Amino acid sequence: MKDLFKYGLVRGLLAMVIGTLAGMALVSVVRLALGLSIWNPDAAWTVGGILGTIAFMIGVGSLTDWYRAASGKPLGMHTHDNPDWSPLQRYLGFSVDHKVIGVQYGVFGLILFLLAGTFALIFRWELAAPGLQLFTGEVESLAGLTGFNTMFSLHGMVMVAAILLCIAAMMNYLVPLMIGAQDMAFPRLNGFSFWITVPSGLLLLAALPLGGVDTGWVGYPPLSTRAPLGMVTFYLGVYLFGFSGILGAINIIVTILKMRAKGMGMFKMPVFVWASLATALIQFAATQLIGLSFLMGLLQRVMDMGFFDIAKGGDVILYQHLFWFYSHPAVYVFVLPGLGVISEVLPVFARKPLYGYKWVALSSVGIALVGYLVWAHHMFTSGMQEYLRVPFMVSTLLVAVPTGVKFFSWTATLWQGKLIFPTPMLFALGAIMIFLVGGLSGPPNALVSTDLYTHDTYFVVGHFHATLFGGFVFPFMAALYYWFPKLTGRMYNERMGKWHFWLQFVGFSVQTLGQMQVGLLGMRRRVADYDAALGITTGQLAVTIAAFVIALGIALMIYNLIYSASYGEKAAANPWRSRSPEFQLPSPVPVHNFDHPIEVVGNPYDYGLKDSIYVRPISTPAAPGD
Amino acid sequence: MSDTQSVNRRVLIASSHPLFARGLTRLLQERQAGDVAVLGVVSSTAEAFQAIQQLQPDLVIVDYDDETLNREDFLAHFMESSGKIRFVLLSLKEGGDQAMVYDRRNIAASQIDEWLSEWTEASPEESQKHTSYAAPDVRSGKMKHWIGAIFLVLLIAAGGIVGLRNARLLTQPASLQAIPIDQAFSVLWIAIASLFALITGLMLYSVIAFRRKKGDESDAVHIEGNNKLEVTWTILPLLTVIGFAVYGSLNLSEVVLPDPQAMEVRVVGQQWSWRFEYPEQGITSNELVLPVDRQVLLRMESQDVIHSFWVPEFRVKQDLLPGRETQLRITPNRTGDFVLGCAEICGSQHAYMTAPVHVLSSADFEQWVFDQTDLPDDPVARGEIWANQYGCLACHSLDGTRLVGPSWQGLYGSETVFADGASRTADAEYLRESILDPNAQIVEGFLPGLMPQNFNEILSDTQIDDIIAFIESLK
Amino acid sequence: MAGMVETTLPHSATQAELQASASKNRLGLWIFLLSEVFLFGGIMVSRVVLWGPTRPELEQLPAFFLTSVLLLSSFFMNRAETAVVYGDRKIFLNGILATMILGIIFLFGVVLYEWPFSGLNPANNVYGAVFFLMTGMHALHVLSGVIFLGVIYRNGRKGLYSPQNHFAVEGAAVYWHFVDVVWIFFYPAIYLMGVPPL
Repeated sequence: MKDLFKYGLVRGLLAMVIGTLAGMALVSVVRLALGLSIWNPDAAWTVGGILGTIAFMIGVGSLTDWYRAASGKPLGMHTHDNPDWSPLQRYLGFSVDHKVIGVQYGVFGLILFLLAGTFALIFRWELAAPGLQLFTGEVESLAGLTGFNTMFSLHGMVMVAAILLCIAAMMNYLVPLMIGAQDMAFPRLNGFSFWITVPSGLLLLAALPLGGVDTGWVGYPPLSTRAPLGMVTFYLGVYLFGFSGILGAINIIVTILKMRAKGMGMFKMPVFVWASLATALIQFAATQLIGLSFLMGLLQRVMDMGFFDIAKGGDVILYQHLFWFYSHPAVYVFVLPGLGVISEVLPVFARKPLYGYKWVALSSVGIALVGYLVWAHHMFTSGMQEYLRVPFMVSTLLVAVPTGVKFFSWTATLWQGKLIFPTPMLFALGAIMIFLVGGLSGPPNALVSTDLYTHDTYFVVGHFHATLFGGFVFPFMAALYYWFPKLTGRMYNERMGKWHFWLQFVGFSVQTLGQMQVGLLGMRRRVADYDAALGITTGQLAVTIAAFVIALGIALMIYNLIYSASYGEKAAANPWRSRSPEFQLPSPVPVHNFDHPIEVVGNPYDYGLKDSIYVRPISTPAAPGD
Repeated sequence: MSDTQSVNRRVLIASSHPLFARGLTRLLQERQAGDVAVLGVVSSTAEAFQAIQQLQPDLVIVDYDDETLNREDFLAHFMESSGKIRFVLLSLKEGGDQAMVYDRRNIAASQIDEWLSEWTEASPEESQKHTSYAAPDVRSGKMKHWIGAIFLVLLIAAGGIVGLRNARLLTQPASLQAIPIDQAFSVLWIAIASLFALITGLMLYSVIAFRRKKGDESDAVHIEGNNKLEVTWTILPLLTVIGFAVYGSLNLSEVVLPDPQAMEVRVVGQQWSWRFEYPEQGITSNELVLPVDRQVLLRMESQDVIHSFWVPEFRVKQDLLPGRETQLRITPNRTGDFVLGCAEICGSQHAYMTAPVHVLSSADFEQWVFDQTDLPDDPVARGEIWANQYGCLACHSLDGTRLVGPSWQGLYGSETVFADGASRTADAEYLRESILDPNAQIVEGFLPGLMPQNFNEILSDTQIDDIIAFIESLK
Repeated sequence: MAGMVETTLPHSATQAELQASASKNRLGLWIFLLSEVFLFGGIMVSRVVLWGPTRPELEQLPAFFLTSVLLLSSFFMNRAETAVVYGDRKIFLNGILATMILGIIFLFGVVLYEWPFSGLNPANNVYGAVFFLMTGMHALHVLSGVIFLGVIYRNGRKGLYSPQNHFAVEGAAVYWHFVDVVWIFFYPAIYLMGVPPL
């Protein structure tokens, strides 16, 4: 039993329980001293959640080094994990190795992804036919309509968390390897950034047993002020989760700007590094605004601070501006890394340079910048000033330009290539097609007049699921298969991979077109039930079945990856014949990454240029005649 | 040539024309002595490739005019594998009175000196640097790919446009505002189908036509990009989106056109019901009844959280905010029955926050107004009307079901227990207090702060008496 | 349960390594502060939207005093940082101490005087809500700055900082100045700009 305490996660969880209880006790004591009633659930869970999170971070060991530094024991220049630790200790504990942290992010991300997906399957079951089938219990309870509302609200927010974790997994694992660095700029901060997602993710999930959340992932007041208790840990959990994004983004930016290998100018980096830089440029700044809006929403609820309460002089629309100022750029955070993966994978399987590499690299930054200017297209019907609508329509349409550059580049990369179609390539191609559908379904929402129709209907749901599947889900799966051999030293099962792809691609195509159609035919968002007279019942059934087909494909992938990690065929170090730096290393990658520092002597995507080299270890001085 | 290893650049000349070969050799030796060494001369393609393998020259100068050399082979080599080995085609015939040198960018013979010295001075690393070349279009068979791809694009575009036109995609329009909106959708469908076809067609064609042949482990052609093309496919989409922005602006202005003669209807939304007040006619209804072909100005407000007004057939949508009026103008242009649904999540019963909508002819509308001002004499019947109109039944059931608030069935005269333990008989006085000051006493098991607190402003004493009578009638 | 194993001790780190490390830390710190600008910027936007051309009726003298205290503290912070660069231990430590004391005076002034005696309550109306949000968020950052300085002071006493190796001091100083700059925007926004409503 004592043995369990050698795992940071176990210590952290126990500490979190103690910290939460201590926080609640503190609130009760203060309330008694002030002459108030001893128990106020909102206040108790807020302070409990905060102290519980701090306690978790202490328990897991993420603050130990900094505490030591603060006590005057200086820290060394270099850090690495305790070599005496077992693999389980390393992965369940506080690691400073970006590869371990990348896997930690990935595993936790996939767990939340599956959880959020399950919530979706549950409410899709309900929506398969008109009338209530599952949520027939007491209306204000989890067994009734409030439960349904909680399902889609948590599906949304837990998915957001899952996506942020999975892209952090990719960026953390790959960026140092791709730039020839030994680790990230701030390894301890990196470990902290991962571990804080655990208590904050748990707080988010706690919203479910605490009574649920019925506002949708956006958490608009005034509804959030009168929502069930789950709203408190929902707001708080997301707030704390944001710390990870901000600190992680700072780490990525400094790593890319300061730790590139010799000779690696900005335009000699693999394009995924550019994608990560653009993503981090959004995350480090915009995330503060969802933090602020959720903080203010929480304060309005817990302390009656009337920011969004018109009776107190507040402004309901202020929340929406603050919230969407983050949440729109956030969607570019979700898709930029995946689009970077597509740009990495296509040249390798077409044996052809990435067409217009510089333009593709800069288009990621272009999307990031323009993405800051479009947020109020989520608010065309909100009652905000009418004169704001057209300018935001214009800026929204402009985002299509840098996005288009990517599509044209991908198409040109494939043209006249020599294509092969292993599973990662299938997912990359599928991603492009689905992201295309997602992107093209944007203009009906961008144009104000048509948005007055589509807003808050399933058409929007179809649009953003297509962009998210095309920009994140499919590319992330391409990445999982593509880098699986590098990560584990083994190959996944190719046949199962192909089955997964076709199930997911066909399933999702049905889902997205179905959602868009039922939305245009009158299906509102966030409703547990719909009128059979709308004539969308078949469409809804199709979407539900499609969701289950996708789930089947994903289950296949999970099985494939877990099984192959232990029993898969041993993989070559560079099974894809990629020029990228990480594929010049053995699989799995050694702890210290590169034996010798590398230098860049060529361009990253010069497939077809005979005898050209991209990176090589910095050799000793050349012998004459070399 | 002896000792060719120590010089900077090693050249192979491919030409079966002795004069060409020897003349060029002499020129190179004279002009670039010490920097350039001519390794040899080959006169057939086979010889050439053998020599290339063996001698590994840095540069191969091919006689472009020599018909015995297979130029296609050299061109293929030239485009695919110009790493350490550079190929240059030299033609004395093509340029009229100038020699032409094809080095994947065309340079005139007068520039060859400059090019050669540039090339000899470059370091080995630099010589591997690449500028984006525009390969001369000498590949045969390329045309067939373009034709095939364009055909596929057009096929998909046609299919897409036909499909979108014929699919059941929008509810039947019922307002003037729907006309520009539906037109915008039509334009968008065409644009979407075309762009989808463009990318998908090219991609699918590549997937079919550019597969790697079995056993071919070599890379594809080394094409890095083309700045002019990039600029084109940035500017053209930019112009397209600007075009759409202008179109969208004009379209919107058509949708929001105000009619100063519009009829006013106040829309009150609350969790989870709608109420419609007609100030001109002095009536209240919980169904939205409108005369056809007349613009209605909806002046809307929420009693609690954000709601949203949407009748799909009318197309336009607008949120209702608490404490602030928002407006929406609709001109129904056909009679019919529709459903208004709340389009902003507003709590547990959001899905069921609907109201019937009827668009009537002018005459029928006038009749309806007349009928509405005629209230029943029986207070119980009137009470039932008020209970519907003012949203009581969204939270209080008539059949014992527990909703947000206690059921009214059997409520009158029953013993009610409160959250603080006290109890009271639910008589008329208690019910009146519950309506006017809902938070004074909360029934055990229910939450405070949910019932609207402004009924003292909205309901008259008579209306309250009627409601109490109605509650009393429910056993 | 030590997780970390260091491979080099700081005194054996080369000058180049120290500079590279400080360079990374510096960039990281500035990006972090830029992120915080978005936080305080969002709060500022909220003030502008919710108060418009008005502001609450507040006592001017105490706030003016506290603002001067904070500005003065930045002076001492700068003095301390300069001192550590030149190796003057005494002025460095005294400067840190002075900064901390002034910072604590500021905190007491806000939390123990402004908050109870402003006549504002977080729950009353939007004047109270925004007032407490702005001063509260700022005070939280001042508090964390004071704690950070406490650590610097203690480690400074132990002789941990030298002209070649003192990024922690530079970091604390930049952070402290940032917090001061935020107040330079918040003070007029709360106390000076606009007219109290009738």
